[in-house]
Amino acid sequence: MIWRRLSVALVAALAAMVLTGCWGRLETNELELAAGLGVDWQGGQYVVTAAVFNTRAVTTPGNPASNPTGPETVFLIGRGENPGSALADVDLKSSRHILWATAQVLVLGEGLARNGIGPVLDAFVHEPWFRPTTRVIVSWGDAQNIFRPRVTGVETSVSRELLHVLQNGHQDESIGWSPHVFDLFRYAGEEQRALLIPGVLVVEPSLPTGTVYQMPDSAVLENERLVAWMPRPDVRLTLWVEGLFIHGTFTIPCPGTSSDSGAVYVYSAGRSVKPVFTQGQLRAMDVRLRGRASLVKSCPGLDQRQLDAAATAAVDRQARQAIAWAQEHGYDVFGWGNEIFQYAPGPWRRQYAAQWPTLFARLPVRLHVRVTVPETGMVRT
Amino acid sequence: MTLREWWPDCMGVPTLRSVPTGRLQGASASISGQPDSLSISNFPVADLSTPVYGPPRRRLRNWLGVQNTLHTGRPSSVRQSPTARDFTAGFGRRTFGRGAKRASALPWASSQTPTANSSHLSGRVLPAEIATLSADVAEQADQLLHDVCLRSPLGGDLNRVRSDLQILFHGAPDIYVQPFTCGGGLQGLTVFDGGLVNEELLVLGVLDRLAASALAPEDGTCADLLLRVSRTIAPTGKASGAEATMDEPQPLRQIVQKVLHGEVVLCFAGCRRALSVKIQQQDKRAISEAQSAATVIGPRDGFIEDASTNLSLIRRRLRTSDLWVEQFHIGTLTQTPVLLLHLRGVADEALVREVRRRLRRIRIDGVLESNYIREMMRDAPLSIVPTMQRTERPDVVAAALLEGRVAIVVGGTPFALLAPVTLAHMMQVHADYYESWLTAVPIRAIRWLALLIGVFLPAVFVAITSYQHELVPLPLMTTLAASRENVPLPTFAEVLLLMVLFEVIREAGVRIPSGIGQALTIGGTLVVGQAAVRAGIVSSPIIIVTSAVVIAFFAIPDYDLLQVARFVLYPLILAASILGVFGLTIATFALMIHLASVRSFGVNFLTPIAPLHPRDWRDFVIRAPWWRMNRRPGSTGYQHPVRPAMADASRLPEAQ
Repeated sequence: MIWRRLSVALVAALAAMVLTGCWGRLETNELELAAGLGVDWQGGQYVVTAAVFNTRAVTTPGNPASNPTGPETVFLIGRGENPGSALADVDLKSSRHILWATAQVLVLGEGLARNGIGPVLDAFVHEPWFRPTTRVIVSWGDAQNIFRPRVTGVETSVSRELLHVLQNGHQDESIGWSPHVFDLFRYAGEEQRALLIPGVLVVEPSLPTGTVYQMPDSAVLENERLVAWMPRPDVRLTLWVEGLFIHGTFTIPCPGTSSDSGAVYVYSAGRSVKPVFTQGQLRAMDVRLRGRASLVKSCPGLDQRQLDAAATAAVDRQARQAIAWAQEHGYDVFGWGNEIFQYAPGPWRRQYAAQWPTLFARLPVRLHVRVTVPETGMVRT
Repeated sequence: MTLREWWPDCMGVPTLRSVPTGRLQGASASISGQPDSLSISNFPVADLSTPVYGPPRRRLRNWLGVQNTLHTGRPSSVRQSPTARDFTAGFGRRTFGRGAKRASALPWASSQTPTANSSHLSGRVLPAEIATLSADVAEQADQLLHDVCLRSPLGGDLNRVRSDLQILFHGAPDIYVQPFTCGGGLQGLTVFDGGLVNEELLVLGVLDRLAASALAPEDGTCADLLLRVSRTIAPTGKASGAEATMDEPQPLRQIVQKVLHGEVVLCFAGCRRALSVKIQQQDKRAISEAQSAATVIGPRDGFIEDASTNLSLIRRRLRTSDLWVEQFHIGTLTQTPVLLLHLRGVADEALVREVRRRLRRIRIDGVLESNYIREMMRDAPLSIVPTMQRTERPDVVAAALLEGRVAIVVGGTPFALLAPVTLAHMMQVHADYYESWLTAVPIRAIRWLALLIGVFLPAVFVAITSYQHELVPLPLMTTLAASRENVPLPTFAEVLLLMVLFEVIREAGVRIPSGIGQALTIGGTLVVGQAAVRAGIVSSPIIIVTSAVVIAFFAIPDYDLLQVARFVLYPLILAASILGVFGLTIATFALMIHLASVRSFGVNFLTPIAPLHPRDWRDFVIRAPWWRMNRRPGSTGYQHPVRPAMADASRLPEAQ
């Protein structure tokens, strides 16, 4: 019996070995690694720009057999009636199999965003090679402009440069955040949620030290279409209200002087958002922001209590400004509609869902901000 | 006086050479008074010094007309086979079977009628035409004579005893069969193995004392004589520290066994009983640190090749009369001492009975290492999983006994066996219990991690670099892809090549003399590591993977588990190369199913995972503090689960 089993196992193993090619085994040196992806809408066609690694040009320490040749990043452009055919067209431009899964950044062109990003997201859903953790950015102008520069900075690819810009480059003033592809899917499933996606702009494309990118206003998408650009100062307070704020610097005015100012660096932020219902009616949104900061630039004459008050006032002012901008334009970038739905699904369906844009613009907001600055470096007397 | 002074003409000379040749040429033996007694008389036997170049045994059977009745290699075959008894008893007198006609033509078969009552053969010259055949017959007859001598009782005739013993030992140069005379004129014969006996004790404590004694042939009965002899030499053993246990062997078989176990046997004229004295020479390795389980913290003594010493090492740790030891002698030719140990009241009696039963069922001619025993009694003999654990450390054996497991100590090897065994047992290290549990927990977790790395890393690497590329982050993927540029082999072949090369280097390193071991290391490093990468045959990440596997294997504490891990990874690599992560998953499931199905003496190998014993997890991947381990493992100590002395010790000990 055991010999029979062994024979069956042996035959199965041999058959599997012989048929190995049927499973699409690809060695790493048979792949072209996509680092970034840009999608534009030009002349009724989707244009995909792929930045792929030229692994032959990457020097590996200890491997003299490798002979670096050519640029490290190669740009391939494909066109098609839909994103899938455009991607296939890119594949045709390459001698190797393009591994889309390694694409770290998906840059959506402004024209595409205004036309609708739904088909691109569908392509991501249906193409198993794509990774839902890819970061999404909306470019000012065409996405091709983002990939056009051939000179990168300290990074080896445009996508990595963009990621570092997102994460580190503007941490003092901007958001340090951008959504993943799956965030877009998640937000699309929420109740009347407007998407907020960072925008990127090439400032200096051909400096010897590399390309300089800037992150100006962020794109606001409603129904998968770009509808507005939110000013950058408002974005980080929007993220704070959403619970996505990480850290940032706020300027505080110094008492007694009009020109001099101090600054605090908020390193810990928390928030609480809850709809206020009274007698079954939505009365307001209760928003509480809490933060801890350290003193970056002191103001003469401010004691600890006054410093806390000044930091609180600075955050409060910007938060009210961001909320006002959103309510003025009627874009629920905070996801309050979804908060109300989760809090009271029945009333939401019956009373508020149909007229939410109007209600959102008139919804009273009870904002409570408290920022403390425990680390001042000052000596109490 | 030394032995050479005692017997100046015999020491170091093979005793067979000193045996009168006529005794061999006219060999005879008789056993009377027993149900299956044999008698051999007056049949010609060739000189045993003559080389035997005979026809195959089949030809002999044809000549004699006997089928399946001749020497089978077992000493008991003559006794068990009545046909053989007929053959030997009527040798030359009876003819039967298809060879009867030819046998009747033989002069010694047809015309020579044996005389059953004669005790000695008269040497006869064989006819030239049957010389070759007679050599075969002589070989058979010699074996027969050997068997008969083994079973013959000890007689009072010292010459006869000497001859029989010298026949039994076939002239072995280390066996001494020498006469001596006591001070009173009593003649005696001493039989011993020169390499196993303490020569000084033999001379000073036995021979000199006997020579100085007044023992005479007329000193009463045999029993009285032996009593006086034992009183004469008994203090010697105690005074010298030797083992002075004495016995009175009766048949020559027992004398042979005693001699081969290193005892000195004393026979006296006119006495049909003998005396054995244990004055074994302590030629054994000193107790040293266990090579296979070195430690930084904890006891450093390890087992040696002597079973009694190993037993004493365990006794020193378990000073209780509940430590039961049963002795077996396994191996028909080696008679290897095998000790079965268990703690009565702790170990499951059914487990002990099962181990005992399996030990008794072992049929083997020689046991040279504990693995002989393990393979003969283990569960799942076709499985690669070791179902008995080997250890060189007495503290590990003592700990296992305290958990309700049984131990088997085998003579001739420093490795004892433990049963039952689980995967958790094999991943435990004695040092885990000798240091703080807070530090032992992460170390043990790292060990488990090393096991997973060693078994799965090459297969996972093959799977994700050949199929599931999306699992690799871009920076790592870039490096991997760049390093594989210009490499001709697929990843699967690269991994396989390097792993096989490493196995070759390791196998060579085990056997290579230490003086040139460094050269092997340098050669292996240069060839496998640097040169292969520089030549573009393999990529550098493969070197890293292989090195990681090798290093991870060194973290596996149990050698047998390491051997399993070494060879389990190849099917996993194969599965990963065929179907990627999917194939690896299938192979892993198959492996886990097999591991879960294997049992070691009724205990599942994956206990306490499958079956799930959450209570035993306190000594699994983690190691709970001692004051929390007041219960024995459920897999082995379920009969008496609570350690009585620790019944109330489950709380945090109070600060002193």
